[in-house]
Amino acid sequence: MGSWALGFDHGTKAEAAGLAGSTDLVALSGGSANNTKGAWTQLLAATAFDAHAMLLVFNDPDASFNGLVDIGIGASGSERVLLPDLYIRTETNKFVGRLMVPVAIPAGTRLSARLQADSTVRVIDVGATLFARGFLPPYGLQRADVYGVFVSSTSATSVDPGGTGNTKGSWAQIVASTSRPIRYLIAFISPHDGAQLQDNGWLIDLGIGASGQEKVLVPNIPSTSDNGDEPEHQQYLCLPCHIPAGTRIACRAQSTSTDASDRIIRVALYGFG
Amino acid sequence: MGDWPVGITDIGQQFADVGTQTSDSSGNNIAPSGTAHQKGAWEQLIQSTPFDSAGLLWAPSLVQTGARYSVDLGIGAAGSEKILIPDLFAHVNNFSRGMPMRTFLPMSIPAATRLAARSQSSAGGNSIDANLLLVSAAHLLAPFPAARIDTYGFVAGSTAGTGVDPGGSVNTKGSWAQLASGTTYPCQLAMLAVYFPTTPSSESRWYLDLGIGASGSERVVVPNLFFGTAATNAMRSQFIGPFPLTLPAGTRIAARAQSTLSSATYRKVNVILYLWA
Repeated sequence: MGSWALGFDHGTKAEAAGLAGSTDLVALSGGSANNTKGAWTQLLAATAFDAHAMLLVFNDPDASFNGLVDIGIGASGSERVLLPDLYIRTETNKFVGRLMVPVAIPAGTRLSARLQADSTVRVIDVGATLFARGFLPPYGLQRADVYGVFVSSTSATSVDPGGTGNTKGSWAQIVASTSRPIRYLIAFISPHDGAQLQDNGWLIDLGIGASGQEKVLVPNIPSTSDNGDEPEHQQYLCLPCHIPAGTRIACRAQSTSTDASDRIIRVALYGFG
Repeated sequence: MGDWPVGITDIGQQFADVGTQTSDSSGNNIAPSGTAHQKGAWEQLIQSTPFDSAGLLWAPSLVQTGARYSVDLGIGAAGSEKILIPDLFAHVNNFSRGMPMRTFLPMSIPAATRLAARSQSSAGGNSIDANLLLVSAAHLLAPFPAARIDTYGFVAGSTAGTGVDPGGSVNTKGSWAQLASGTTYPCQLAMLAVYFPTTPSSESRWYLDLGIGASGSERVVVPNLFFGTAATNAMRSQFIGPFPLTLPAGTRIAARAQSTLSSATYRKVNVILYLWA
């Protein structure tokens, strides 16, 4: 007997946003000055159904740069930021990353996006696939808060494993106090401070608690870098994670590298509730 | 006011890494059989899981350029392991320390469960490292605790996925390729593994449709999933999802794609489908 799940008026629904000609995605251009947002660019004029999750994808940047992408909703000229400052670290022409965002978006919503970069007039392609409720909870998630991003420099928090290989370094604060409860967490992790990447490995802890009294919440998140190439697919970590409002979150790491530049990672967090 | 969800004990949600090798900042080494395309022996990851898990973070890491791997995660006593998640796929090209992707896999695993893993590779021998992170109960997963994952489109005899050929006309959908003639169980969640059997000759892009229905009468249920790669890029297999997909048992599932490439050598992609019941 078939199973079209009872209680779900959506069944299976999915639609793509941000498609462009020639099997491409919509191109976003950064602002005319460094670290300033470019214009909003429409991804989809009107969503076809009530969506409860969005699979975002970034591809084909025109150069190596640090960028922040806003996903917005609303009519042209009246856009509001739905997902703020999604951090991307790019290398020319390469696939950048993909992340699942469990945010509720009503039918009929106009979707758009905009970019800022740490160098002028950079370009990246963005697209999305929207999904109906499926496995997600009936109430949906409705907002995202960003922590650890520096908008003025288009950067994220630096975490230094220290000079002793394969030994955890000091905690670096990502946020002093979360503004709202988190039920789903996206962590951007980029082992990319080094001028020349080497074959390195990292283990990264996310901790909560006051400075000097941090308690490990998520232990030993793995990451790697390869000699001369970007860790493009591993930039985002998406997982259910419950953290109450008012929590201090910090991060520490260990690395196989002791090089003062290569060992450093960048971390930003996005809390969904 | 804080929000520590009701029913979640102690500090709230719990996380535990399994088999992490802190001495070299890596993960479990899971050695394949020395014979290509044959599973190696089960290797214990943890004797007893510390809490009821609602899912796990899966993060394989590879060092053998060009080889394809699949890993079974299993549960049960030594010598009596039973497959929990079959044939998690991983592939890299031109890497000396490559990590295909970190992916969260919803899966209910009771506390005190023994976890083990075994692997196979297309070349035979070598090894795959894998980091695991267990995640306890979560609101987001509460409606549907995941009990099983079934794999479709994996070709065990060649440690490969099902080929999907976009055809010779660029930016035009090719023919449907069957991934499942009939699903074994109802599903509520899906994930794709995609990889490129040959390094593309130029920066290239694909749209991939998932469809259901009889051959010749397929209907698109997930349209235009995008993936791309650069020429001579150090390529990794990509997981797309998990994403919601509610389908009954017995459903035929197929995939088709379009590409910016027309060359029969470079345009093809291989696909493996994972369905959660």
